[in-house]
This record gives sequence, C-alpha cells and structure tokens, in this order.
Amino acid sequence: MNCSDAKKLLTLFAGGDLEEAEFTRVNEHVASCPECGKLLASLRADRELVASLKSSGPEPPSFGEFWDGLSEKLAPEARRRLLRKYLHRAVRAATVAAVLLVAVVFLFHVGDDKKQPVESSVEEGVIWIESQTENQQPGLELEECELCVDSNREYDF
Amino acid sequence: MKDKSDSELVQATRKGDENAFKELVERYQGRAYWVAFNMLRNREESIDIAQEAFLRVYRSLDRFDIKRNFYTWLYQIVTNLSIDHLRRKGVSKSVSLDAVGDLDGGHGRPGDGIEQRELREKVRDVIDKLAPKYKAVVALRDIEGLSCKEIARIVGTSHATVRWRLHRARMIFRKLWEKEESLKDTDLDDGGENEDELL
Repeated sequence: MNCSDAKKLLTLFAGGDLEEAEFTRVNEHVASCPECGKLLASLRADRELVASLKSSGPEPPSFGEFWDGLSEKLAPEARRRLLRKYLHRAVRAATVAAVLLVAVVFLFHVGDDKKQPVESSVEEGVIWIESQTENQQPGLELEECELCVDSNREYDF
Repeated sequence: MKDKSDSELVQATRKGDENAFKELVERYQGRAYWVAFNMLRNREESIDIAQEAFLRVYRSLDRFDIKRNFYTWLYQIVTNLSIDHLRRKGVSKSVSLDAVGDLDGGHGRPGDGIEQRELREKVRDVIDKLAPKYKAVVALRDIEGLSCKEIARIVGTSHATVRWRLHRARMIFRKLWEKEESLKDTDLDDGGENEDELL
C-alpha cells in the first residue's frame, strides 16, 4: 500500500471503521511511514475532540417539561386517533348491519321466488272468479235478499 | 412498564395505552434531544425537533414494522428533521466565541474549566461549517457512537456511502481545524509582537 491509498483510508482507520483486512494493510503501512503516522495522530486527536462533545451543552429539559410540551402537540392528534378509532368501529358496525340487511332481504326474496309474481296472481284470481261464475249452476244462484226484491218491486201510486 | 421492551411498548401504544407511549418518550427523549442538539446547536430548536419527532412517531405507529429497532427509527426521524431544519435556515451559521456562554447555558460538564468549554465551542464552530449530510454522520458516529451500519439505516443510504461521507467529513474537519490552529498561532504571535511593542 502506498501513501496515496493509505490516506484514503486513514480517516476511517482513526475511527475504527475499517474491515479487518483493510485495517491490517493500513496498519502495516502506518508502521513504516512517518508521514502517514503523523496524519493518523492528528486524525485521532480530532476524533477525541469531536467525541468530547457528547452530552456537552445545555441540559435537555426534564421529562415533565418535555412531556408537557409534547402533550400539547399530541392532544389534537390523540383526539383524531380516538375519533378514527370510533369511526372505524362505526364503519365496521354499519358494514355488519348492511350485510345482515342484505342477507335478510335475500332470504325473503328467495322465499318469494316460489310464489307467482303478483301480476300473474291477480290474473289467475280473475280467471278463477270468472270460471266460478261461468260454471255456476242456476240452482246454486244466491237467493235474492228482501231488500233487493223490494227494490225491484213496482209500486202503484 | 419499565421492564417492557420497546416493541412491547409500541404494541401497547397501538392498543391505546397512553402510559406505554409515555414510557417510550421517557426512555428516548434525552437521546433524541442530543442528536438534534449536535446538529442544530440550539436548545429550544432541539427540543422542538425532538418533540416533533415523537409526534411523528405517534402518528405513524400503526405503520411501524415491529421487527425494526425503535431507536433507529426515532434517530432517523430526528436526523431528517434536523437536516431539513438546517437546510431551511440556509445551512451553517457561524457562532462567535462571545456567544459561547449563552450557547452553553452555563451547563457544561461538572468540573469543566472555561478553557475546555471554549475548546468544545470551537469544535462545534468547525462542525457547523460542514454540510448537513456530513454533519449528520459526524454527529451520529463520532459523537453518539453509532456504527456505520446503523447510520446507513438512519440516513437511508448504503454502508459505503456512509463511510465515504465520514471520510470526507473528517478530512474537511482536519483542514478547518488546522486552519483554526494556525490562526490561533498567528494571533498569539501578533499578540506577542504587540506586547513587545507596548513594552
């Protein structure tokens, strides 16, 4: 490995981000190259400086403070979530009701199929009545009621 | 609630258990804050970003794949929100050393001297000059200590790209820090000459 190749990997070497094979090759080169060794020392020092920033700075808010702020933002969201939940349930209930209704209508419809359609039933009824009256025997005529007889009577005034 | 895993808490929250979500927030609010702060360097903005990230988590909880790491997902949201925020603000802002006291808020680590705090603010000044995509990998790898593979998942890119960005970011940092150091040396030299002149 020459210096040019090593320099491309030194930044990762300093951070422990190389695979084992790459690490070994760079390590061998650095051991025999003072210039790359110097650069590596600087990169390691940089990394320590940057790592010193961990958890340095203004403290995060307490959990209570953070949660209070978040709760304010969450409130409308939680309401929407609750509404969505109930809406979902309502839609489910409505779907079940609709399915049941369709099922009931279907069952009744299947039952009706055995009967004749209404129009033909009426027609049949008319034919039946006509046939009954046509076939009526004279002797079987209904007796005229008194009122009817009276209404047909002729009066002399 | 404390002994439950993240995925158990996520599932409980999905079923409407608000306390489970509260536990998740308590578990990760500090880390979310620090990830944002390492990129934004502003306490109030970092709190806002962390809260916004939890809000998005809450909204998308039903779509979250329970096999994934919860914190990777959270870091992903925080990082993306921070990058967007930086881009909206016009990338980097340079902060003078005069503002160090305000930025640090007097909340450095216990036992820290002023010099150490000033040094850290200088380091932050240099990191601030990095483009958001480089700043993100430096914050996640060199400050938070996540692995390159985890960072690849968080920033939604390949492992090779993360390594390349880390390489570039560290090289740029090296050059900027060298410049910073040489400026300090020049200032010291000038100061010496001026003192000589005064004397």
